[in-house]
This record gives sequence, structure tokens and C-alpha cells, in this order.
Amino acid sequence: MKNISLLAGLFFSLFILSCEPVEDIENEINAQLDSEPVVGAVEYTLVDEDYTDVLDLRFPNFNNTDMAKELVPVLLNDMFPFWGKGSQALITYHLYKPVLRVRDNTARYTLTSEDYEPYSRFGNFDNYGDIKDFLSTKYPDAEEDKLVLLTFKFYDGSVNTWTQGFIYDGSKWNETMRVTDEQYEEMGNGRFNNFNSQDEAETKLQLLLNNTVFYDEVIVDGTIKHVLYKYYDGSVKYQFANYIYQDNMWTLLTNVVPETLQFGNNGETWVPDNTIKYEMTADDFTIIADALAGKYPEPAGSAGNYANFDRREGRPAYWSEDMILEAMNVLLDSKVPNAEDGQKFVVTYAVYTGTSGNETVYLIKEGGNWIYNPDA
Amino acid sequence: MKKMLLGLFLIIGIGTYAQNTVTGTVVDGSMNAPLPGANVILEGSGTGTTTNFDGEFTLNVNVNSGTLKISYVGFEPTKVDFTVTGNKVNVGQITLAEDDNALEEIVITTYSLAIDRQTPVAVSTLKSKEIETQLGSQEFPEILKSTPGIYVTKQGGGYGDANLRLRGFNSENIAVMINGVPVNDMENGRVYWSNWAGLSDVTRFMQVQRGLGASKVAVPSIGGTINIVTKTTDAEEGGNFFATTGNNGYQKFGATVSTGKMDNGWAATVSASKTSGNGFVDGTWFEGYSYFINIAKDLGEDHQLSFTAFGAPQRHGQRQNRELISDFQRSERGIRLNRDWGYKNGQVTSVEDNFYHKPQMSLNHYWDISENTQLSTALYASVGTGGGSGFSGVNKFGLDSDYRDGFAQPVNFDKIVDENVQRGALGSETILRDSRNDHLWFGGLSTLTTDLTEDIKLLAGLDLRYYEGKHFQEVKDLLGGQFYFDDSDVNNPVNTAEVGEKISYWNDGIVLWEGGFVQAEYSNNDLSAFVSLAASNTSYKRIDYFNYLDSDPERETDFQNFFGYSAKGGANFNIDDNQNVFANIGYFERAPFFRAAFLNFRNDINEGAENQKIFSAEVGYGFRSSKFSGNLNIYHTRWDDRTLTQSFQNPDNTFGSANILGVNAIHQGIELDFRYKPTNRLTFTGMVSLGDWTWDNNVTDVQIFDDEQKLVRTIDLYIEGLKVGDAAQTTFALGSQYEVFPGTNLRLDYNYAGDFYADFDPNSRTSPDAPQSWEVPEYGLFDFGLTHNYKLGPLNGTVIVNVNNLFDTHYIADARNGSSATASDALVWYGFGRTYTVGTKINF
Repeated sequence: MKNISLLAGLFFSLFILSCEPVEDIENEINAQLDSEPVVGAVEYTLVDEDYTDVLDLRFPNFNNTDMAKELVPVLLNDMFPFWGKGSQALITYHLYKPVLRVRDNTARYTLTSEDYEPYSRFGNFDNYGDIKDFLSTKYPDAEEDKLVLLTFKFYDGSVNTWTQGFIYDGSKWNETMRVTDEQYEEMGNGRFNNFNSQDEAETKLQLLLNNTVFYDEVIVDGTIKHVLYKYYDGSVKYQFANYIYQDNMWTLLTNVVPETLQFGNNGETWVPDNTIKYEMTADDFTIIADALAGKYPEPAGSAGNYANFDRREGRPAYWSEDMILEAMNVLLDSKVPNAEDGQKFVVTYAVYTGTSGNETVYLIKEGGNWIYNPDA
Repeated sequence: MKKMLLGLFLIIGIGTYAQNTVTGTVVDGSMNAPLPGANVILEGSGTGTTTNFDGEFTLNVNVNSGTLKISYVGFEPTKVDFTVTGNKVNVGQITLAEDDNALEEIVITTYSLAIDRQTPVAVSTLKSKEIETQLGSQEFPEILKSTPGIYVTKQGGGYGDANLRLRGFNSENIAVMINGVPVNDMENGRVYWSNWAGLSDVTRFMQVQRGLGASKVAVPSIGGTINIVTKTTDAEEGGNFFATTGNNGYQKFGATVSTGKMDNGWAATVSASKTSGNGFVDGTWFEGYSYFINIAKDLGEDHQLSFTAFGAPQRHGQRQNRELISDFQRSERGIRLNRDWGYKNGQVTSVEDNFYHKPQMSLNHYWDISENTQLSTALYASVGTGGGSGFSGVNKFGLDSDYRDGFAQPVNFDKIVDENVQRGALGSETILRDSRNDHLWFGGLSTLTTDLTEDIKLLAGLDLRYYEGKHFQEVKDLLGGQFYFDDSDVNNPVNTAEVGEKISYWNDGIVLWEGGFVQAEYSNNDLSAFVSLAASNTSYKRIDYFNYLDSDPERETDFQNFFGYSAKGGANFNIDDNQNVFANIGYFERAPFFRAAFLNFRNDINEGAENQKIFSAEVGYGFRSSKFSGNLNIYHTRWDDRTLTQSFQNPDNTFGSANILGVNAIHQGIELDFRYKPTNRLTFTGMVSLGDWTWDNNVTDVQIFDDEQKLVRTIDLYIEGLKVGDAAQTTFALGSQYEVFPGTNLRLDYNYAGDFYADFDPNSRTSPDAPQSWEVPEYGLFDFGLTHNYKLGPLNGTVIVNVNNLFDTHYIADARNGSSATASDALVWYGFGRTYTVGTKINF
């Protein structure tokens, strides 16, 4: 029995002694893995609730780009709290860009003979520049959205008397397009020569514009027309409908425009970021192999052949970090020759370390060269 | 049934001018069956003999009375007194009791086995009973894991995949012989254990000779020699059946049937088994068979013929790729993670699998030329067919590949197939291929033994071999595509290859081997000694069908000849009945491997490829008593001029090569093993092995010049003091076996491995401040076993239970060093968690 006890004691102590030293390493690695960020990429367009509920804004849009830069990270942190360094988000949001509206400060003015004197000795205008110049002088303290219904004489082959609306957008005067009585008639509103509502106006005027041929004007993408119309709302009122010419048609401008901005996660928060993520293909390795075959024959041959970088130090085909940077310069100069300084890239490529795997490098263009991004 | 002398074990009856004859029969006490091959020695003289197949012996003596000492491996030696009356005496039946204490002598010259207290080498012997009860579902060489100096792993964990290192040397430097026939690959020296996955069923014993070894032929035994001796024809009619089940669908069943000695004088034993399962590691399904046949017949009194054939065809999913520890941690499959498999059309499909069948046949002839002279000849042949699979084309199998349904998930082959189908006339982008490594091997091994005097025996022999290796890749599965475009064959540079067609490479390696040896042995009472000389000429020829035009004379090289030799000697002195000491010393030069003779996977001949040089010396002490036996050895091995070859282009575009000398290693250490049997029911075994294996010196500023004496490059290797990797330098084991009830045994074994450095290539250590290779965490594992004997009517049965890694310990069994030499970038294979087998064997 003594032997049995001895045996039991021996094995017990062996068991105690042998409690998995590999566990320490596994725990350490697991701790690293836990702190290792999840990296994601997303393309996302903000919905109304994002502005109003998450960001607590009154309106579902941002006032300006700076506001977007400030608040989108708040939203991203809320949406993707588990995403860390290297994550990317391509965010589309609404920017508030108010269009011209008629408010209460409408003025009416008919020009006198003296008014033309600085511009013409014939007692009329012959170009719109002079009219706007006149308005600037006449209303030096005009507020934004100030509408002036101006009655003036204009020489256009012959002298006519016109009444046309001009609106101040805060920096300059803009002429408006006025709906003629014939046009009201054409649109079925000829009885009172006004619309029944702003909605009706906006809908019908868009049809009107898209069926109008502008013989004397050059209409290009981005051309804006401010159409001044009348509508009845207890009394006859003036209002604008603003249209932009895009993709061969006139579209109603609203108060918001979409804007897209890329954000990157720097490990702490999301910041506006221009980083481009790129995964190398077999063709990319061929580009590198061809360019560096003379300088590094064996490594280049291996990279071209296997579409990876041999990362086994000491082997003839070994790619050091410096050599890989050279390869990245070759590749990116070929792929994006016009990239500007400050452009960042995250490039992932296949490696062979005895088994196949991937490595990722962070690059930035500085002084015309690609370098490892020291901040990445 | 009339018995006939088969005498497979009958080797020597040392002749004296005898007047008297002593006869008798030796019986195995546990089976009550005759014991062939037992040693019968007249005490106080060099006179002795061995029993024949029926356990009978006849010994001529020149004394009228004396004591016979009868011994056999695994049995307690017995002494019997005799007194001759009328020139002869029959001492009757002598029963030997089984004795697990004793590592006793085996006198089989043919198999180059070491004899306890006689052959001066460090040796461990395992018997079939230990293999049968302890192996379970482990790989065959794992049965040796508690042997000093041995470090053995399952590699990736596929069925049959195993890697054994001995004293820090890998299989290239360990000679493995099956029934005395060398089986190391003739081109690269390696041992593919999966070729022998079923051999354990028919192994009679397995002997590990560490260091120089007892082999007489010039084999590459830097680390040592492993001799596997299979069963031979059983004397009795009968057989056994066994069935085993285990973890992950493990199933094995098999049977052995012996005709016994038939009336027509023939005897045969046939054994076969089937093994299948899903494997502990994901995607390592397997199906293996094994067969064994032995037919024996006597031809007259002086000749015996025996034919043996065995093979183990198998196919199994592999885990070829090691992974980062962090990837094992990341994967929900943990240590079972395997990237090398997936699903195709709902079926498990391996990226990497392995299949091989290598039937090995030998015809052995024993001839008693005269009383003092015997000739033993083995003619053998083996035909290897098989190889391993992998992919060709674009690699879509990374752990985070888009062709997996998530990180480290099985490969979604269907997506690859869809893409290949879409590509239509562009052919497959990614395919599966087989890398074949077929061979044909013929050999003859002949040993003449003659007694020059009473004390001196001379052995001389020939070792002739012919080997033809065929290496090529072939398309295994186009994965949906119409063909695979391959431009590797200059004779057919636009090859739209279909299934079965050769791609990538196709070449043959022909190896001729002519070896001879002579050995003198001295043995007188307590002193035995030997000196041995062996020499061999290795000739390599390479034929390349892809890189050279059919019309190109350079397509087939001339034979390149390399001469190797060995000289060794040693002596053993038995101090008394309990103690012995021995010493041995040897030097040998080994011819370079095939891959050093031809470079760049082409017929680029490496002029002046250098031999590797090995010096080894060892001393040992042994103690034997009825309750305790132990061995202590100290060894020192120098391995000089490990092959380091550089190739370059001369200015005239011809190929040049340089062979750099001086990459040296020293492997030295202390080994201790013991067996202690305090009572008949309790046995302890144990071993401690402390190795000090290091690379010896830096090789710096070696300048390589081309034909025009222009400097091509300068070689600097910084390896001085680096620990040899890939094997645990410190191991120890403790085992115990306890007979709880008669016929019921419990076993508990503990194995420890430490001072284990990750594998690295010393030829790649080119930067001066490179750190020591990563030290893999030490580990200790428990194995549990139970055997229980029972009766089933007239039949005897045994239940065998094995649990390996009882406590489900996490451990890293194999590791390859990364550039930071830390755990963070080492590529590893974890060892298995807890596995088990339950089986029974019924004798009939």
C-alpha cells in the first residue's frame, strides 16, 4: 500500500506542476485579441431619425459641412461602438442650403427718368448688369430674401416697359423669371392668373420649364432659375420656385442638398479621412515584379510567380519592409499617379511565411513619395 | 500435428568439439507454448544455442555436468543444472516466466538488433504486448514517446502523419529498418510513417538504438536506429479478432489467422485490418487498411525460406498548414482548426489530403553452411504509389478568404466551382492537384556470419539497392472548369490539362546503392567488443521530362557518384551479474542527399557536393536485478558540414554552385531510464533525458566567386549558440502499472517535454543579432490505460481501454519560428486534446 500512496503522491505533484504553461501565452494573446479592434467598412445615408433622435437636432439636416464633421462621429460612435482603428465609413447626409423665398419685405418701385441717368442717356436699361447695379445703390442695406418688383424700361430692339422681380440672396441681386399671363392661361390658371397653392405652382412650373425652349440663353448643368409666381392664399401673394438644370431637365430645388464625406476611425474616434483601402491582386504583383526584377531578381520572381511576398527572413526571395515600401511606391504610382500629398492608403497583400497569410500596411503620400504613415 | 523446424531465429550454435549432448524444450509460461529463439548457454563458457521453432534445443557440450542459462527477451532468465549420463541428457521442459523487468537478449543477426549486456549501445525495446495495450489510436511511432531522447508528434494530426526526432535529429538522420530492411527514402532520407500506418498490428517488437546503433550496413544513423520486427508465422493453428472504437468516429477492426504447421510442410499467417474515422482535427477523415502475410517453409535441414509481404494503403485528410496561436484562439474550432478542407456539393472535400500504398515484400533465406558459418539473405521489393493533394492556380484558401463562409470556416468549394464554370473557355482559375511521389525499390541484403575462433565472430555482407522515384503533379479535380492551363512542359508549352494529366513538373530520380560491410565481434564471458567498417557508393541520376526538350541530351544526367563510409567500435563489460558498462565510438561520412546533388529543381549538377561528417562517442552503465533495472548513458555527437549550397549564374549564363562547409552542430546529453517492480502486481517505469543540442559556430565572410573570379555574394550565418529546434531537449516520463485484480491492469503514464525551441533553418540565419528561436511552452501529459482479461466460453478475450491526454491539456507540439521569435508569429500545431479508444481482442 505504501507504494500506491507514493505513486499517487508522485502523479498528483506532477499534475499540480504541469498546469498548462501554454495557457499563459494563450491568455496574453487573448487579451491582445480582445483589445484588437473590429474593423469594418460601411456606406450609409443618414435617415431623419439620425438627425432628430440620435443627434437631437430640430431638422433632419446639417447647417454646414463643419457641423457634419462634428456630429457624424457622434452618430458613428453610437451606431458602431464595436468598430475600432482602421474602420471606414462613407457617409451621405443632408446639408441645409436654403433656397430663395419671398418673405414679408417685398418692395415695389417704378424707375424715374433720373434713375437711368448713370446708365443710359436714352432713359432705359439695355442690360441686366446695370439693373443690378442700380438695385445695389438703391437698396444698399438690403436683407437676404428682399424682393423688389421693379418696373423699368428696357431696350431690346425696341423699348418696352417691364415689371420683373429681383431678389437679394445676401450677396447679390438675382433676376427672376416671371410667369406671364399667357403662361397662367396655358397651365389652366388663366382666370385669375395665379395658382391655387404653392404646391400647384411648383409642380406646374417644373412642367412649364421643361417644355420651354430658351433660345437666347445658354443653359448648362447647374443653371438655376428663380421663377416668381403669384398664388392665392386669402390674398394674392408672390413666391419663388427655384429650379436647377441637371441631367437635361429642370428640377425643383429644396432647402437641403446631399453631400458625401468619408470618415475613418483613428482608434479613439471617427475623423474625416481620405484613406483608400486596397487589396492587392495577382496583376498588382506582376506590376511590382516587372518593375523590380532587375533590382531584386529572386524576390521579384517569387512575387510574380506566387502573387505574394515571401516574408521568411533569410530566404533568397525574402521581402523586407523597406523592399515592400519600394513595391508600394511602384504600385501606387502606377495605380494613382495623380494622388495628392496627404492621400492615405491602406494596402493589404498576400504573404508567405511558411503558410499563406495577409499583411496590411498604412501609407501616406508626402513630398510626392509614398511612405509608411507614421500616424497610422 | 508434426512440428517442423522453421528456425527463423536459429542463427548460431557455437561449435565445440563436443562429446556430450544436452537436449530440452523451452516453453512460454504465459501461453504454455513453445518458445522459439530462446538462448541456451552453458554457464562459464562461450557455448550456447537457440531453440528451434518448436522450442527445442540441442547443445553439444564438452563437460559432464554444468548449468544451462536460458533466456529470452521479455522473460525471466532461468538456470537448469544437468548431469550427462551416456553422452546425453534430456533436461525436459523448461518454463520461462514472462518478465517485464528484463530487457533481455535477442540474437537475430539479420535484424541488426542489440543484445542486452553485450552490444555496447544505448537501447530500448518495446514488445508487441505493450504496443497492443498502449498504442490506442496514437500514431505508430508515438508508442516510443517514453523512450529517452525521443520526441514524437502527430505533425498536423492526419491519420498516419507523425514525426519522430531522436536526440534532436529528424528522420533524415534516423535509420528506420523493418525486418532489417532500411526504409528511409532513398532520395531525401526521410521516413514517411503514414506508409506504415497499420504496421503496429503485426509488430513483434520495436527496438530503438540511440546513437551509433548496432546496424552493420552504412545507414544514416546520426540520431539512432529504429528496428521494427514484424511477427512471423505462428506455430499453432488459430488466430484472433479485434474491434476498437474511439473518439471522432474512430473504428478499427481486424483479424489474424494462422494455419499452423500444415501436413504438407507449409505454414502461413495472414493478418488484416481496417481503420476509419473523422479525426480529432477538423477535416482529417481517414480510411486505412493493413495486410500482412508470412509464408514459411523448410528446404532440407540447412535451408529455410520465408516470404513476408505487408502494406497499409490509406487515404486521409491532412492539416498541412500550421497557424498562428492567435488564429487558433480566434477560431471557434480552437485547437481543432484546420484550414485545409471544405465542402463541395455537400461533401467533405480536402484541399490537402494524402494517399499512399507501399507494399513491401521480402524473401528471406537462411542457410546453415556449416556448424560455424551461416548465410542470411533478404531480397526485397517495394512499390510506392501515392502522394499528397493541394491546389494549383489562384490561392483561394487563406483563413479570411472570400471563399469561406466567415473567418477560418471550411472552404466553400461551390463558389470556386461556380466561378470556374463561368470562366468557360478561359479554363479553371483554381484546381486541386496531386503531387505524386511514386517509387520502385529493389534491394538485396546478405550477411555471412562465421566463427573464426571460439571467441571471435566475423560478419561480412553486401547491401545492394536500386531505386526509381517518379515525381510529378497531376490534375485531380478541375473544380468545374473545362481545363487547366499549364505552360511548365517545354515539350507541350500550351497544355490545356484535364484530370489525370501531368502539370507543373515531371522528373525521375534514380538511385543506385552498393554497400559492403565487415564486422568482427569478440565475446568471452564478461567482455564483448566489436569493430565495424562499412562503405557505400551512392549514385544519383536525374531525368527531367518538363524542363528539357525530348531531343535535349541534358534531359537525362549521368550518374553522380558519392562515397560514404563508417567506422565504429565498442565494448561492453559485465562487472557482475547486476552491472555492466559499455562505450562506443564512431565516425562516418554520409553522401549528400539527392536535392544537394541537383539544384534548382533542374538537372543543374552540383559539382563537389560535400559529405556530411559525424563523430559520436558514448558511455553507458546498466544495472539489472529481479526488481530493478536501469540504464544511464552519456553521449556526444558532432555533426559537421550540414549541407549548405548556393547556386548562381556565371557571366556566360552557365550555372554555378558553391558548397559551403562549416555549419556544425553538437548534440550531447544524458539519458536515464529504469523499470522497478516492487511487487508482482506493481511496476514503475521512468526516464529522464537531458539534451544539450546547439549549433556550434558562425559561418561568416564566405565569399563565392563565379568562373571569372568575380564576387557573386558573401555568406554570413550567425548560428553560434543557437539551440537546435524542433525537438524537446528535456523530456522525462513516469509510468506505473498496477494489477488491481488478477487479469485487470490499470496504467497511468506521464510524459513531460521542455526546453523545446521552435523549428528554424540555420541556413537562413543571416542577421547577426537574431535572437534564440522561440521557446515553446513546456507541457506534461497523462495517459490512462486499462486492460481486462475475460473468458467467453472457450475463448480468451481482453478489453483494452486507452485515454490519451487524460486532462485535456492544451499544448503546442510543433512550432516553426517567426521573425520576431516570439509566440506572436510562430506557426504552430497544437497537440490533440483528450482522445480515447475502447476495444477488445478475442483469441481463437
